[in-house]
Amino acid sequence: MPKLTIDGREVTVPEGSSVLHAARALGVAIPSLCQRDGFEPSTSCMACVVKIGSSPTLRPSCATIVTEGMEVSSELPEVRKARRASLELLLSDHAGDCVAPCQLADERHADLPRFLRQVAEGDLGGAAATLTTAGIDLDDLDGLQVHRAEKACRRGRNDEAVALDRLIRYVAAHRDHPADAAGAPPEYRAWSVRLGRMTEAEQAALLAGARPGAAVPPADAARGYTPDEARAEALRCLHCDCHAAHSCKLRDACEEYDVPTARLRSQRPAWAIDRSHPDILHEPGKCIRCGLCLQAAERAGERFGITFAGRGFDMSVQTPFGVPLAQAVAAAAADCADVCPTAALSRRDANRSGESNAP
Amino acid sequence: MIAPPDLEAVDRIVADLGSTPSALIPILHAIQEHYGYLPAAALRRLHETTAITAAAITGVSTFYDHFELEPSGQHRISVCHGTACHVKGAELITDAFGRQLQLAPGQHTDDRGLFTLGKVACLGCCTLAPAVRIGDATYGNVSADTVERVVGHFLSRERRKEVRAADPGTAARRAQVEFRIGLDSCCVAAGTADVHRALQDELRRARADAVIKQVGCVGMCHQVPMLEVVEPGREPRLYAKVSAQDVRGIVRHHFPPAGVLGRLRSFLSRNIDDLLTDENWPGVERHVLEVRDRPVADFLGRQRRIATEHSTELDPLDVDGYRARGGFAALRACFDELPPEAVIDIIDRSGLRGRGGGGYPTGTKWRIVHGVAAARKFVICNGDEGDPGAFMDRMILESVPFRVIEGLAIAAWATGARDGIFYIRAEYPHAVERIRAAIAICEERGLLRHEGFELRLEVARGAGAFVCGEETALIASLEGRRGMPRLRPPYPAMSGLHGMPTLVNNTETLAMVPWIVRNGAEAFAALGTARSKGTKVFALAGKVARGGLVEVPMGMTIREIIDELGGGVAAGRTLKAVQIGGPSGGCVPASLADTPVDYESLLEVGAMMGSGGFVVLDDTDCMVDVARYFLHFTQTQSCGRCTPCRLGTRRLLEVLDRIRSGAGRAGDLELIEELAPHIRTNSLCGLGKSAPNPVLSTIRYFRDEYEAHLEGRCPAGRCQALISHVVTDACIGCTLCAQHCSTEAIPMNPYRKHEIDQARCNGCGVCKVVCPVDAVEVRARCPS
Repeated sequence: MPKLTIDGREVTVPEGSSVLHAARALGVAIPSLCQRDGFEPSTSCMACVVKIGSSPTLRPSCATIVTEGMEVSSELPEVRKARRASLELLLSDHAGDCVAPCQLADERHADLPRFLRQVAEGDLGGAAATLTTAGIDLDDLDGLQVHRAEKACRRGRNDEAVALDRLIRYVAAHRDHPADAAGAPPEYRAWSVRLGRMTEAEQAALLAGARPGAAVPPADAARGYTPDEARAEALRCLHCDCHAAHSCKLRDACEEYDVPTARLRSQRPAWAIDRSHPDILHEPGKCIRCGLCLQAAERAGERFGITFAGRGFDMSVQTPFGVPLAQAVAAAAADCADVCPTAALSRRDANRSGESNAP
Repeated sequence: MIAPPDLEAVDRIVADLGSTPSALIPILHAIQEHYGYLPAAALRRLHETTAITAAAITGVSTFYDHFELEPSGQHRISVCHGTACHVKGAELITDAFGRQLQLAPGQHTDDRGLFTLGKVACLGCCTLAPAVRIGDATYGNVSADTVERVVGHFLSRERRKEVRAADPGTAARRAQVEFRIGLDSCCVAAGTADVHRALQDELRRARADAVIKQVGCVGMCHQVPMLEVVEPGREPRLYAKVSAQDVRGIVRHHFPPAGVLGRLRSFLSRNIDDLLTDENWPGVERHVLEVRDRPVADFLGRQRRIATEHSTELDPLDVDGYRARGGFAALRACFDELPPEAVIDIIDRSGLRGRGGGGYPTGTKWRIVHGVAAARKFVICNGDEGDPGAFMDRMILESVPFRVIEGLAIAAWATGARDGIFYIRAEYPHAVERIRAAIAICEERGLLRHEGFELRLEVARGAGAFVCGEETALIASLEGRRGMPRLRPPYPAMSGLHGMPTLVNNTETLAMVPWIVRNGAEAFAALGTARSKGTKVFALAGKVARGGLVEVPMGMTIREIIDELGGGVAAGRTLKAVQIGGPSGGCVPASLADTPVDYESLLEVGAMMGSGGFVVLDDTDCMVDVARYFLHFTQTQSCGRCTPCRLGTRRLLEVLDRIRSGAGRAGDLELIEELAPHIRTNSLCGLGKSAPNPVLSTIRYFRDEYEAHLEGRCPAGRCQALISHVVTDACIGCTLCAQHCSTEAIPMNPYRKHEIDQARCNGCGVCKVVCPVDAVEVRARCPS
């Protein structure tokens, strides 16, 4: 059993352990995106680098096997700077919104996509809780200002923004409904990546999953939405917020290292979404090329599976021979989504309109 | 609708090459050779009939540049974009071919489906830059205005091929006179094949008692095609830059026609050579060189040939000739009296270090592999030389294949390996053929067998991925995978091919081994400097009078190599810098030209031995452009595995691109100085770690040039966006510039002074190249 020190603290680990595991045993936090226990180390993201001894080059801790007497530095300024630089490079090739534009624009950063999903499900108590958590006083809506959120709504560029104001008033009127057991909305996190202005093609891809048509007008303007009208309007939400907004390893690490989001970004990669699979979604712009999904598909014995195609900067995750994703990964689909450190592959979310049913 | 291809060929190929995952790359080569590309139906068939996964087939076929997934034209035009070709205007050549074939932007195959235009990282003919390969023919010294002739020559050659009957060949009998002709890639590129044919015809006609002998590279590539005539009892005569038309003169010189006049001529020619040749065959004499003449003697004389020993006088496949010059004596000595430990000891004491670039002590590597107990071990000769601007491995493999085989066999003997593999670039078909033929001869003669030691050798072809020169990527490639390096340790010496201990040595390193064993460690260690022993082969190219391969003792200075071997830079030009070590190396400025060439000294000045590229740059070369060129190369060759290399090199390249195009911003130099060290310290393998070197070294020595670009000036007048071309009054109205202009910025105006429409001009400079009276001037572009 080799003994090593990490930032001066001693620890003994089983033979063959990685430095990353040794660090975890000590409670030393090292960001790692592409590593997953039980999988071959990808040595791809390089967010987990450490300094070994006085070597001038840094090494990925996930694949560096501990040797007796090894001296590891994980918190040196140069190490932190290197992790931050690699994370920033990953962001320079990332296309997506962590947070929906409406939530970002809203003064109180209320989780409006979640609110809309709750309205669509009929969970009005939960929807009310989502609003009140953000500090919206449902008893006093006279001064309610949601026009900034409505203005930011991506739907507005196409037909009409989701009628947030009306829906909030509708929920306020029905706030005594018991809330479902969904719990409190996740805390708003200021660190987020923004997609910015979408191209025509991107906008079209985004809209393809949502309920078509302009905003639903209430039959009786004075009384506001009926339950059916509210549901129909809520279903118009495009769910711009990321599926992995609160589970994304890239976001977690970037937040911790306070990485600038767009400094190195000269040309944003295109955002696209493949909705052809009945169980999972594929957003290639969020892929960090870790290859974990390749491994997951391979170990499930998929006939086609997933592969890297191309090389270098142009390398991407593809299906062999270009077969549809549903044919490439069948049994392994959920596994592929679950191992993805970002939301490049994600499970369909039944609560998001347009994702509940297989195409 | 194209009919689905006949897939029986795939089944035949699989039956022939096997159906295991590690057979994938040879299978893909074979499929492409059969169909001309990799048809989707053929790949699917491969998936259905073998254990090779679909993911592997798509992953591998899209990783390597050599594999084509779309059908291409009948003939492929590959414009070399190696360093030497780049500095001599390869971009212009590509554009010119595009115009010649009338290709629209983004179109690669002409409308008739005759030609597909592409780029190749390096053809290894740096001294004939710019070089272009069409089909199996290589053309050297191509310029924008000879492109049309090149295409014409190729097509007429193809037609001749069709009608020509099989060549009866020259009888290999004992003869008086030997005509030695180099037939390696450089020479063939310069037209040696035509000379060879003419020589066969002339000798037949003169009923001459002579043989033609093919020899390897002489290293004087700037003088090819070369013909050496060796007559018993006379000084050998060397003819340089021979053309097919010159051959009759040369043959008559040595085999005078019968008759009184003929005999007289013959008498004179043997006694007062110069007089006769001058008067009778000026065409030949123009090119004739005496080896004893000073410039050439310098060129060859200061060199010390170890890896390239005898390469000029040996038929590459003449095993008896090789043995007569001490070949296989070293291996014999190992078999007879040197146990593995003793051989390793010799290599250790010789101080030999890896010639592929890293400079790791060879003996240490051998000792590690020797010390590991394993059921099977491998020795691999790394012939995946991919540096643009270096071609010594090609030359060694083509010219002295037996020496490399002997070196590999000694390494196998010393390490306990019984399997040897030559991994050779697909771009080097001659080298692959030579090594295969040489292995067959060795096996037939039983040269690699000795009491319980039997070496099995095979040749594997690369598929166009520079990163496969890295040993773990090379091994991945041999296992039939995408050539992506992995973290070391474990080193291949402990766990390499198929998990077995594997010794990977560079071609040049192995070629040094027989000499060391034969002459002793001390003789080798006596050459060179304190920590860099022996000799190193450099590919001297760029702005020197004489380019070619030179093998010099370590420690010679940069200036000595340029002046004494290269003949200096052209008159009127000044030396600016030397780029040493290719994409992993750096630029050494003229002020440091007295730096001795050895591993440590080069690292100190920010360059690197690399594989030995040595490109001389003069005052017309822009250092930002040079840095950008190398970074662009490594960026496109990055495997994509690790973030610092995949994305870091790309972002760095974007910064250089905008600086070069006049769109640089304040803070860009600081951004370079932030990104480059990050890539260097955080990349997974040597490719990424060394990728920023060309940028860091140029910014270190030529910061003022970067700053000038930020101000909108290219001091060397090279960067297209920052310069403008202007026609001066010297114009004679020949219209050549108008004919060649790639953007139709010059209206045709016969017999009058031409004008360049600056709004349309893209700054490519082809007008300046083709102008017969030097009437095009480069000026700084006024900021718009």
